[in-house]
Amino acid sequence: MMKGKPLYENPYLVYAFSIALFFLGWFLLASRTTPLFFPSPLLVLRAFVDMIRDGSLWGHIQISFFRILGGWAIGSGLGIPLGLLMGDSRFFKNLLNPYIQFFRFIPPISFVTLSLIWFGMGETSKIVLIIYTTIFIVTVNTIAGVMSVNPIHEQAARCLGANRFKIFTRVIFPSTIPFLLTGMRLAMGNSFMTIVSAEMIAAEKGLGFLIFTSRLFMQTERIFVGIVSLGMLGFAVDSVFRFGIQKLARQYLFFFKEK
Amino acid sequence: MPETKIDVRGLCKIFGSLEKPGGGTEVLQDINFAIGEGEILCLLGPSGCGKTTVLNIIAGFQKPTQGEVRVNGKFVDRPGPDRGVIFQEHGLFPWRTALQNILFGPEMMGKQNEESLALADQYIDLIGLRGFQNHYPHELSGGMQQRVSIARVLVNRPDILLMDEPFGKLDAQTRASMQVLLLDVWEKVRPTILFITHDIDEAIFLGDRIMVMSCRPGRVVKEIDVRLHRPRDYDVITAPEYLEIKRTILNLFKGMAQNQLAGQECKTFA
Repeated sequence: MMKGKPLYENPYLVYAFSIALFFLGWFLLASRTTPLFFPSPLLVLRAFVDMIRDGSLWGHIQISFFRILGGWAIGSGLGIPLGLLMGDSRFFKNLLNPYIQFFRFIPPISFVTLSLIWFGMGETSKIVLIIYTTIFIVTVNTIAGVMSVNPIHEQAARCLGANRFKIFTRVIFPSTIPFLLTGMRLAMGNSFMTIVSAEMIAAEKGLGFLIFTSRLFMQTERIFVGIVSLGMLGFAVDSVFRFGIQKLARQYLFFFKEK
Repeated sequence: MPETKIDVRGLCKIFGSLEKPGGGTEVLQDINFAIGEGEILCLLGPSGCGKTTVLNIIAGFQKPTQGEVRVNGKFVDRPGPDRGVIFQEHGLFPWRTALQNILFGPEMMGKQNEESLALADQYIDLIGLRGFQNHYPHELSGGMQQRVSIARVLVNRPDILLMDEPFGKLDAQTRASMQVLLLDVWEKVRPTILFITHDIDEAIFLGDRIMVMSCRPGRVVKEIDVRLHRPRDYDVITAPEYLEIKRTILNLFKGMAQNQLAGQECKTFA
């Protein structure tokens, strides 16, 4: 037996304790109500297993994941250059800022119906909504990144012989990396909100669709399956993203350790 | 008489505008000096006297309101790799290792070859950073960071170093060893150096000449030749000539402080 730290300082023990407490509460709550109102963890687990066996759950997860990833990647691909351009050029900032400042307050959900009318029932309408969700967050964060470039770094680069283009690619862009990565992470979270509402209104598949249709069939435990899947998918995607940053972009995060 | 490297004539700088209500602030008033090849000139003065503005104008970061600066006979209108600037904050790129920072200059000039790598290697030895070349700036001490930024500038082979209180944030011991290191580098490479400081001892220890500046508007109030033998080591600080110079400067500063108390330090134009 190891001596030293008290048990409550071991993070894994605390995680396990916290989760156990959660399930205990769930059991207690479910035992006092009907399954229709609040299904027990066992009931949800059974629905989970059933849906994995018949392959339907994997289909829902896959399609939701594909929509989020596609829209998020395209949205980031547009938002990063847009943010760099707006951060670096006063002209482009003035040109585009009214739109950014106007649309970033309009939640993507308010465009669900319009997106259906304009882009149809297919994948495009959902992906467009995710692009919309992503682009503003990524753009605004990237602009903030460009704005906070250390002026000493720019001056140093200039007297080391860098021209304007090189300053942009070798100083400004690397300085914004922590900011745009933060923007992308936030956008990923918001994309989950958007996709569920989009799939609730018009889709034949997806986690949002699963949650919504289960309500029609009074299958409360399937709603729980949808919710738990969303949480796990989000956690998995975020973990992969964070792992990727640690592997590929680690040196750029030292930025935060500077001062 | 060595060839003139930097020639500063009638430099004035006013921030804001004298015509507008609220007025402007006259930061520099008629600054004149020249620095010869291989010379170390120390610009000494209290904080806020415009020393850094002089350096920024020579570096090409700022434009003078009046007057002109010539480097190697050519007018300065922008920064360039012929004038290496070392800032008080090291200004290293945090996402690059020490070696990658040193190689930034050659990279910018399209010289990513064996030769610049060998040169970078040579400067790593010169500034005593062997073994730390693959560390990131945040993994280095303040003194080491400043060494990297000196090497990063030297690798471009500038004939001029513009140093803006580069050791100002270091502790006393590190600062002393950095001063010795700088003189050592200077003996080997012989760049022309404009060194800005508010530390009297630093100015005397390093400089061939000292220009003492007064406050707002920044003016040169005295020019002092430092005739101490080179190569210098730290024993010099007890030499009678050294103490004589120090006394002169202290008296100047005392006079300035009295003027300040009399309310003459700030001339803001209404």
